[in-house]
Amino acid sequence: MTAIDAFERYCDAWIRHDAEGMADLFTEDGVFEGSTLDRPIRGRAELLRELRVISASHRNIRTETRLAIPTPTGALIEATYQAEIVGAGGKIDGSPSRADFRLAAIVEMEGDKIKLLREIFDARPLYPEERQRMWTMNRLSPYWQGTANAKCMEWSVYNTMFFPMIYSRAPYEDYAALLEGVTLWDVGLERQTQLRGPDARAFLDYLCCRDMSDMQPGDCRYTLMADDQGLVMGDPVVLMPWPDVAWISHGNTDMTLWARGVALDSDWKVEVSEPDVAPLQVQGPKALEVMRAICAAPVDEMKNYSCVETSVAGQRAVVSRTGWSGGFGFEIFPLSSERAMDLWSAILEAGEPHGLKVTGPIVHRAVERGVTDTGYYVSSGMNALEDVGARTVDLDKPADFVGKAALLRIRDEGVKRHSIGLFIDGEIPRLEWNWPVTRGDEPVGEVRWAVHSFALGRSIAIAILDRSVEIGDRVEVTHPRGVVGAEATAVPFVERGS
Amino acid sequence: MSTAGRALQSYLDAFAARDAAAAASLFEPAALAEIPMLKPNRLVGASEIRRGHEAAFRTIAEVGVETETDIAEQDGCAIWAGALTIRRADGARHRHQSAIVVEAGAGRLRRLSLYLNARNIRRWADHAIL
Repeated sequence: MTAIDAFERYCDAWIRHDAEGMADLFTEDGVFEGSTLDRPIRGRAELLRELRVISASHRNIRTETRLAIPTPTGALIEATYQAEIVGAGGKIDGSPSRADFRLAAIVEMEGDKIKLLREIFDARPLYPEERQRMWTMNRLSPYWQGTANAKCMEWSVYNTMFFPMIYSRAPYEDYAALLEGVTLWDVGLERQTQLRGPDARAFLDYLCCRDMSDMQPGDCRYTLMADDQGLVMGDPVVLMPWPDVAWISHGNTDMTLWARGVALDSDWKVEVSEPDVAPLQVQGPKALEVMRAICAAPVDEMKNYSCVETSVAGQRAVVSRTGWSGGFGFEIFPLSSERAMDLWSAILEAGEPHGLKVTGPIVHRAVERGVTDTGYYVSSGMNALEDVGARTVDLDKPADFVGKAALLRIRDEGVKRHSIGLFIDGEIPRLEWNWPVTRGDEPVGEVRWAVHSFALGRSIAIAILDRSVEIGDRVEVTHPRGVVGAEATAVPFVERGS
Repeated sequence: MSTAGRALQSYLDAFAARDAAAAASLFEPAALAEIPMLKPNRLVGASEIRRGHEAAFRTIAEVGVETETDIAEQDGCAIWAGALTIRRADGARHRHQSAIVVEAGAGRLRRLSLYLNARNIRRWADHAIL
């Protein structure tokens, strides 16, 4: 087989997402290099894994060889590549997000197999001209420089801190890294409301809709927190790293301010503060290998939703087996952010042999697993009995808690809405605001969380709808591209591990 | 070596010498040069090609051309592959995997496309990488 034939077959296999077909064209130690890759892909196992993921992140792929000249050891080629990016939601005008470019390819052969395939192209037109700009009215995370180095393009704002969301890869590449490899997330914006003192446990129990009274040091527990009207304010994971200390690791709500307000001028003997703790998440099936390399504690023995004080890369930290991925992983809570970038670099180094990728939160997977965030309930008038986490509300717990009376009334009067899944017909744009849901002429609620599901190959959403909408019912969703049909379904959409 | 091959080699020599006039002289009057690190990155005609190269070379103190695959030629076209090592006027050094594809006719270049990844890596800096 000539080098030019090999390149043509490679292109054909790429279009078919045929990873075996692509890998078979290479020698056992063959190498693929591309302009958007951080490093070369080497050897059959890596070629099989990486080329499958990268090719699957595109669809409707077309390639055309414009010029192909044999050399004594292979060929030099000029070609074009055109494709749509899967799961990106398209552009504002409704046109698909695309990867279109012209490239030069260098093919070196060994016998009739490819020893080296190097694709050179200008990646600049595939991305925004430069990264999003920051504003001094919000804070930088202690890891911000790391995220900029890792080519983050888009940040949101969370607890007045910039939250890295989208990096310079196609969405499926990050999704696959979470499900098959290991990812590092800067969640320094996930702040801790620290409760310390003789009444810390009781005060915690008073703030939470769930019974927290039996939490022990080393436990972590998910809960909803409501205001006095029973409206959801937060759905944090609470950690109890030490006997007299609880950390409410909260979302995009100033829980420290809230807790201080509740404790102000009260009889609670509790000190409420926000320590200098900026977490990181290491998520994915290979997270264990990374953590073993840097964590003093025996992470293999850690149970799900447990935490321990230990050292990570020589820095004191609390490590928990928790995360926002709906899958396997860890959170690292260093007890000071003073050496934040040293910790970041240590994790990158430990993760390098395992192909660790720096990513944002993989929202596609979170929605598949029914994991929501503050934006799902804030400003929706959603009470705790209507939320996805309603099952954790314990109205029977003996102790009073903020919002209990209101929630009891709501329960007795009948909960009017519920959170439910939707399969939305067709492709959907990126969710930038909530989408109305109707049944005929009747408004029944709104979509508050929506993505393309890579696991299911269709559009999915989580909506707050009138309780009369049941699983299997059809409704209509109005999104920026028009009115489309949808079918109500259960959440989560996929089970852990699938 | 064919016209295309000779012209491509001459272009590489002119680029290494940072000689914009010599580079521009290799092109037909209405030739196209695609240089990704410039804005605009499509230069049409010898005059524009000369000005574009002058703009690039003003910021470069030294250029090294590393040939990894000898120029391959066919039917009036030629391709070179290797790396360009650049030392900028501010002292920064970069090495870029590169390829150049040319089409020639009547002794001069009709089209030259320089392939390299021009995306800035250090996003907080506003300098170009070449």
